[in-house]
Amino acid sequence: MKEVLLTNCEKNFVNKSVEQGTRLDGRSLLEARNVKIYFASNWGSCMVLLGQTRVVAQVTCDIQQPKTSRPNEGMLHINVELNPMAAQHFDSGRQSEISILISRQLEKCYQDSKCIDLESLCIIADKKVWNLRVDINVINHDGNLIDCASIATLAALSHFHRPDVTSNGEDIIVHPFSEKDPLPLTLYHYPVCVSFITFESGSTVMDPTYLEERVGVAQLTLGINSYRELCSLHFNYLTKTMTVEDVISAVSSYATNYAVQLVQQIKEAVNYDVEARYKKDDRNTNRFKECIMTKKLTTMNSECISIKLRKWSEIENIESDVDMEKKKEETENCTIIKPGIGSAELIPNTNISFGEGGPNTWNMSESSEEEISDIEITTVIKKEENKTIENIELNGDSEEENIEILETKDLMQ
Amino acid sequence: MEVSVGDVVMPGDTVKDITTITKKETIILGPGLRREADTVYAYKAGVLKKTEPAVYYVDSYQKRYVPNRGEHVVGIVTQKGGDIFKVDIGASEQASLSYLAFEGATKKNRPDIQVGDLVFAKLLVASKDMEPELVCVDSHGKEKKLGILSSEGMLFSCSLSLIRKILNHNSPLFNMLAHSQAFEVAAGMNGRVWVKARTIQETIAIATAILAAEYAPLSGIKKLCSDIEKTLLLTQSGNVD
Amino acid sequence: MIEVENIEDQNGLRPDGRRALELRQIRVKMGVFGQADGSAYIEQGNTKILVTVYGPHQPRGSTGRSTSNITKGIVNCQYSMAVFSLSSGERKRKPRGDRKSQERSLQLKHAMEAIIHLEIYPRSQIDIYVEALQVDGSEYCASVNAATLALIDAGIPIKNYAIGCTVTLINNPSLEDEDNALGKGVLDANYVEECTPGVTLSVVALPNNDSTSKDGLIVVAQGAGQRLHLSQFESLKARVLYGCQDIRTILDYAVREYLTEQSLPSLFHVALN
Repeated sequence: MKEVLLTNCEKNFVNKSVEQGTRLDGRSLLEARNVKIYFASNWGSCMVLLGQTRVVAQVTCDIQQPKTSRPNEGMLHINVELNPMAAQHFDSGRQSEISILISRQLEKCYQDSKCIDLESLCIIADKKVWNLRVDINVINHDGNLIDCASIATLAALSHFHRPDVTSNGEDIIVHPFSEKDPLPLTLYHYPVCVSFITFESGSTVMDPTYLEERVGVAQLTLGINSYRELCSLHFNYLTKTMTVEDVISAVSSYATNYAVQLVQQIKEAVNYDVEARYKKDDRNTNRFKECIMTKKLTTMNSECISIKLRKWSEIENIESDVDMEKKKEETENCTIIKPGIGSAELIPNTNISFGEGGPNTWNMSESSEEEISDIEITTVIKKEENKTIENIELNGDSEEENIEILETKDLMQ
Repeated sequence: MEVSVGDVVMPGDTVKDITTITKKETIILGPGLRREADTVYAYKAGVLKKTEPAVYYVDSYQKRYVPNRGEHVVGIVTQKGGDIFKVDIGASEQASLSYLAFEGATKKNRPDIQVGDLVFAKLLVASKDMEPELVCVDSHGKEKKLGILSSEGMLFSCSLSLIRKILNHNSPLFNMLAHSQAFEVAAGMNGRVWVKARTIQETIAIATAILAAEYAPLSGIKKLCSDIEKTLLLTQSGNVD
Repeated sequence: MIEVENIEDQNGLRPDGRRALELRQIRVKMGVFGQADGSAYIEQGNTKILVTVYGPHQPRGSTGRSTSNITKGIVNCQYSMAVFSLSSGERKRKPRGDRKSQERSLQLKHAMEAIIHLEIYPRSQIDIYVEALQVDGSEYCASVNAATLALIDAGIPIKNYAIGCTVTLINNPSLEDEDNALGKGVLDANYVEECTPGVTLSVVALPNNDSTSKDGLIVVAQGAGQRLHLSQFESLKARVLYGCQDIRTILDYAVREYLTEQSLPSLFHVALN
């Protein structure tokens, strides 16, 4: 399927807004989106979210004969898959341009820069070595696949543990995890990719979204490790305009600083998860299940609004903070309602937002009578206390706010 | 499961109200409902709604547009050829728009449209077997609000239910926004919205408001608008500093 | 590593006897085929590249149909390395289709898109076929140079020469001394130098027209090899642009000479009439 044509209108608008130093999603020019890393239940598998871009990486290993040119080194393969699941214009069949570019870039970043101690992966020289394979699957495409894929690769590689082997002359025994503890890989340095897009006006943005990638004229991806060393470089001119200044030198110092931070974040996330696994403590870990949030009317709100003003979230936060304080007082006064909250919060939505297009509300269970009565008690109490609350919050992640919806409804009646 | 008006329905649910009606009146089944023998089944997940006298439909969340005759859409011109434009309206097929379907257009005097431009047009033909056809004039040959949208504005997409929500006559969103902002907006039923305001910031603000409205109940719209206004003031003051 | 020792021994000279900023000998021949619309052959030392250009013609095959942009021409590049091309004596299993040559094709395409005036060829396609006959380092850059010449030969309007050049930083503890010219990167590396543990930066630039300023617009840049500290990057870039400028001068001379040769008979013709 074809990609939707980029309209002149979008092109103009993005160019103009970048020129003024604003971006559609409220970031400043050299600001990256939030990175979230979730791990799966087995070693070396993780999902990385960069804004709305989502990538899953999985490291697997098997034993193979080494290449004749390097008989005492293990092997590392990186495979990037872009299927039509991520975006409608991706071809499922042959390798597309972008997937070649991403996999080559990752190969340069992780293979050629000798980031993994491949010699430690040798079992018997010239006969048997470990072959590592990193599979990258892009699930959702919202720009900057390369950064997201590189974060996923790094997180998966540093998280991966291979089974221990012992060899007695000819035979080798691969120990299952129950017999011997698995071993982590040795990483000499931690490279990540940081991407930039330059626009016609000459201004450069970091971590471009899909729309920005389409509008921009020059693309730059730097693979940088935490020692401020360049592991890969890719610079590309996308269109014909001839007025781009020297982007590489302009942003390189900024990129290194960011890369150092990012590597730190990845390391922390990986260490935390690995330690939790050693301790068999699964309580506060970031597993796949954590990335699916509870289904409330407003859960997805902040993420789904792709166009934002810069201070928009600030306002929301301030206000929700205020509300939270208010609520705390209230809940202290009326602790009776506590037991009912969990299921009761969903009811008000039925009355108000049905048919108004609110998502995720259809899974409501039918609440029992007593819960409803609990809610009614709450609202009565609140009416006495505080009648000035205007309306519901948008960013209502807290349960109390949903109760507020009911209250306003009651007030109106 | 048997459901009645106002309930959440799942595909396969039977609609109770309709089966029990005995009066001799015409019942119209809207989108999401299907009759098999004497029972009416829902085939979409959503909320069952009824408008008087007896029109039933399922209001569901959807992103892909299916053209309907008479609806207004925002389309992207993808091709110029012969005497028609090809316009992408987000449907399964590209729609065609004649050179002559503009106000004051003649064989000699053609409208100035480039590939990649936006048009706000009305669906003249929308049938599952035929290519959809668009026009930018009403039956009197007048443009009214239809036509080319200036490339100064901004385009974004949203869900079809949000469009229905903000275009609803009861929706206070645009009125309230208009109290504090000056803006132009073209909301197509195909989930594309074009916005133009005085500055970039204001345009983004309007777009934020529209997108956020999806998650706000009717009573929350006022608060939303004041939030937007506050944010805008904050941003503008920030820029001055 | 034998080469490393050699560098030390030869007192500031590279294994093949060049100085740091010295290029290999460049031999150029344009218009080598009759069938193609444009063709060129280039030798940079032992790296030998043959390029043919067909077009502009009607888009063919999947590349023509899949593209949504019909207001501009399409460039189709194919980079293939002959199976016997490797200087180490190994045979390549297949000439193209592996990731490296696919990447090369793509980058070549981007470089060519940057210089060709595609907007004057709507709904048409230009094919560029590159065949590396012998590979001895800097083959990507040599193929960019050859493709530029082939485009000129085919009479396709371009904005400027696209010049490719590599700079290699040889990581060697004995060369840490900042004053040493070799320690800051050598131009136009051959295969042996590329294989040393170091970094190779391949750059395609559009050099400025006046040869006095050693500057240009970088169109495609890619780094390969191991790690490079960012502080060294700037000096490498300056060197590579210097090299591009030099190559441009050589190519420019070659093109002028070729054109004079070609146009002489027709000029006589005009004069006689």
